[in-house]
Amino acid sequence: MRALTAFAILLVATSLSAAVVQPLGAGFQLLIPAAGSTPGLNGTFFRSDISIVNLAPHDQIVQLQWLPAPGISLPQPVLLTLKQSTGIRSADFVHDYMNQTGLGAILVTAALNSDGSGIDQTGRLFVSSRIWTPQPGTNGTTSQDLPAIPASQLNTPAAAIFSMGGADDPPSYRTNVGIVNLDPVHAQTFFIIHFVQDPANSITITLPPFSMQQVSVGTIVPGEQIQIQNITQSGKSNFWTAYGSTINNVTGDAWDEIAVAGTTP
Amino acid sequence: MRTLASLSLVLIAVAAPAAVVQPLGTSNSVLIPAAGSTAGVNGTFFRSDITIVNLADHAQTVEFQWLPEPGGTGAGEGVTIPARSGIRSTDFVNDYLHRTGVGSILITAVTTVGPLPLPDPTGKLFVSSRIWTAQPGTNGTTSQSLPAIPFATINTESAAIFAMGGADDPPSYRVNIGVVNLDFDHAQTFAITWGPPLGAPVQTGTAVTIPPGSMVQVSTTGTCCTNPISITNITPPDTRSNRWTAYGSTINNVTGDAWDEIAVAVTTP
Repeated sequence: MRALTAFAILLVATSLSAAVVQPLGAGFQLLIPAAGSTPGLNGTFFRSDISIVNLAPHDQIVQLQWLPAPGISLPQPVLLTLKQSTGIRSADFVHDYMNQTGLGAILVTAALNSDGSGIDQTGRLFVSSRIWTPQPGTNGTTSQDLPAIPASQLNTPAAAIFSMGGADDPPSYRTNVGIVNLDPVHAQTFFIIHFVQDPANSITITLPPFSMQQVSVGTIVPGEQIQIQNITQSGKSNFWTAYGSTINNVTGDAWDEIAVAGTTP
Repeated sequence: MRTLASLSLVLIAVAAPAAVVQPLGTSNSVLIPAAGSTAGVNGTFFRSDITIVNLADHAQTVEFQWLPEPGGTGAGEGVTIPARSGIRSTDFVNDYLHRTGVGSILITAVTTVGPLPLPDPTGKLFVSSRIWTAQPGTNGTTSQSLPAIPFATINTESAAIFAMGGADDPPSYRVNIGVVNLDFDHAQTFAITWGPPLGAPVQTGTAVTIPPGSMVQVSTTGTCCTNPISITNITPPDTRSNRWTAYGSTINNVTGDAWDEIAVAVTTP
């Protein structure tokens, strides 16, 4: 599955980042909010097809930190070096590079030192990510993209997700919400609600430091938004993010949305 | 298909955008690089499921500008979205733009409507977009998301796309490249090259000329996945513009499973 070990880039990224398109997936520290190498239902097996490209004009030490689900110990980070203007890609990245199974998040950091310590703010990493599986009963696949998020921009007092659920036929879809706690010290507790008039449609989860969890929120009907509030009492942090993922129950067709950060009234 | 007239928001977007997550789709003017309402092969019909949310605390007039494929007809339409509410349609191109075919949509918060609407700098729009179709032979769907791009960030000298093709089984996938010309005065010509030779000059690639204010999507072939796809603007310097962007889309030939990547803006050596 490590289909590609490296590819050469002859293009040079501009150094004046403010003057060019800054894709969501480019920066010196990027979060892949969901990745996995794990069996699903009905013969599916979900893997992450991930590319990491070093756009900087220098070799780059890259630290890959796996953020597991609650209850699983935080593993040691993986270190690798990407030559300048080269990249890596794997169709089963979590297995091939992270040596992990299950579902988690990956924090990709341009490291300053050979032991992975420090953040190299001159790093220019591009990351793309999708989760895919063979589609049972066919010779094809189904997948969904998951944009990588510049971690330095994360400052989330509260968050909302707007376009979940299948508006064409709501009962044919289910929706999951994932939350990533990037606070390295404190657990965070989140309140997820997707129908403000009915508090019964709410879920409360607590995430240990450096972990992620995905939960089902069932069927979203048109007009509903999903809200996520951080209700941590002690050690509350804004260093978290969330996403929604809607899946068609028949084909596995899926799409996602990174939560919009905001404040509550 | 206009299944949702509005959605109300309780969330208030924070006022200091530099301090918060700035999603790719939040701005006072955003580009959806590909949208459509068009029949495909084998019984498919592709539509755009688009959500537009007004995160501002005031009602917002929003203009939609349709950037068609060459030969198509552009159009401008608009709506007013109340404060902290939104609209969603599973066939947005038909329902709101009254158009068919494939194109791009430039969505702009404006202070007035008419031939020369003025952009509203206080506008805060969130836009999400995906293209979907019923999957023939099933009761389900297949789709791909397409991130909306803040218009103000588009300044593309050259571009590269890195993660196209299916790394698990390359022959089972095809790849399309879309390029959107946002220069409304001059046609632009692009060279699209998959794999070496990359960098300037790249006239060896597929040359595509795009009229002002329009978009093109072309299929491309190459050897996945050892090299990026490069897109270089080879328009003569006197009319060359950096107001363009590109995307790649990979499609599984069996299921229609698809994903995309917005091109990374770069310069050539």
